[in-house]
Amino acid sequence: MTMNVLLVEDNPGDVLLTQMAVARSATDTNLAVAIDGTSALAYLRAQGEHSGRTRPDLVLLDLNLPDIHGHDVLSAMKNDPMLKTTPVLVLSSSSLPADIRDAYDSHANTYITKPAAIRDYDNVVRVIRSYWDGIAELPPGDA
Amino acid sequence: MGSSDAGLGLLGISSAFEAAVFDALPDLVLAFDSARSTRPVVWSNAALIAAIGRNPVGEPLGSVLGGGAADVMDRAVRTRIGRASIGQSTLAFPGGHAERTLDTKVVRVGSDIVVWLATDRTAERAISRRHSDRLAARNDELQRSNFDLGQFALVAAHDLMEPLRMVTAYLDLLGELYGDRLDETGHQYLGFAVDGADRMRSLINALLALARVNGSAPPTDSVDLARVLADAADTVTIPLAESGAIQAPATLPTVRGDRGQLVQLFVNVLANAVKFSPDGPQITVSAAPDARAGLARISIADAGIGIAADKREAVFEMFRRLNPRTRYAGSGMGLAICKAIVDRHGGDIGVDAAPGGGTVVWFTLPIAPAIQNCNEGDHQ
Repeated sequence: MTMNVLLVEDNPGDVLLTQMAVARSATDTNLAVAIDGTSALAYLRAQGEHSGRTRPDLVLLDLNLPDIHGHDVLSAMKNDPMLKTTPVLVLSSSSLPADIRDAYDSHANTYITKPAAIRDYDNVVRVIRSYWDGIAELPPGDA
Repeated sequence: MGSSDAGLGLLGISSAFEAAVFDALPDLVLAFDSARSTRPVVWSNAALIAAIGRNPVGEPLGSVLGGGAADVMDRAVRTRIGRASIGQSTLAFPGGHAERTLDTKVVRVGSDIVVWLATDRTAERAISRRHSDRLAARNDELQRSNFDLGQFALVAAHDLMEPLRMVTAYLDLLGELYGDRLDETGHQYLGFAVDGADRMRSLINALLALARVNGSAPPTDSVDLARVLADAADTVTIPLAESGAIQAPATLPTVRGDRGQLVQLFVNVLANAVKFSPDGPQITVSAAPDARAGLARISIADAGIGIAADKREAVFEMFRRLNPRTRYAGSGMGLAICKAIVDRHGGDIGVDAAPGGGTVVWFTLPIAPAIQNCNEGDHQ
């Protein structure tokens, strides 16, 4: 099944690792990338240059963004009737309990600590795909 | 000075020398006649005269000592001739004088005459109270500072992990995607770089563990150490508990603490015992009440390579390793973290030589206060 994923991540090293892991997963996954919070929300709302975009099924959200904190992107999504049903998987380098708690408090679907080794990255992408493709049901798309 | 000759005579003091000595005493001294109903003062030394601003000879004891007179009379009645009753009291001489803290002695020198001597401890008490106040304030400061450092180290360690993760991930990728283009030397260089990054990661993780302990709230739960030992043994090596490698009593004390930290404490000690016993671990756990009330002393002994006597304090330092990396791996933080945990719980920790070779790690922990059982006892 084709899955459209938006990755919100400003670190090019992490962007590349995620793209590589997606490619190696050999699944039908379209990965769009937004490198800051503002353009992520514009993409999600299909504004401006993004008006022709395909609606993402899942959002992978980093917390450390240059313009607004990933936390605020999450809140904005959950307060937007058009965006709030999209599952957000927080992908963060922090393992601090406070960060984890805050994310779930703001209704993140999942919190994942970014792995260090490439094979662990492969595993994260593979598991996400098989979970959302094989086990969980995604919210039905908009009209 | 102000002492009456008659009074001195009653005390049996005849020489001018003896009189001068009494007068020169810094202690406050008076003698009174306990046989007469008003207990009149028959003699008083210069120090007491100066303290109350008058010569009290002839006055009733009560007008000199105020409320303290009754206690002195009590003690006088109970004291035999030639004996002294020693006590402490706080006393404000009547007439608007400030309260004093006194060490007092009541001596019956004859069937009627009683001598009261007092050493003024007021200034000493004030100094020692100031000292202990200052100590308490310093202690609070240090606790806060430790906590702040812990919080800071937590954030710093996290920030350090992020670029390190990039180094590790891309060294990994280099090896995987370009490994076939590297010669043997190139692979060796890559190996050193990967090793360095791995070691850095375990150092930062260890620092994080230490920071988490120091930055944590004071531990207050009741924790059963027998369960802690079981969990720790499971974590260190799964077959450890079954293979008989650990001998422990059926029950261990229940202590006041943080369960997670206590498991970490046991894990670190057991892991060391396993690591440094190249012939296979033989670990003995024992518990005893500590000499100080309210503390339990736990000892974990192994039959391994032991620790040299001159290194027994150094082992608790951060990043402290005693053996070459080629023989035993590790970040040198295990015991530093143990010390931080034991400190946080208000205990002490140390290492000794085990009889027959090997190491004993001992530590003290506060015993959990007894829990009131609702079913027992009379009233709720």
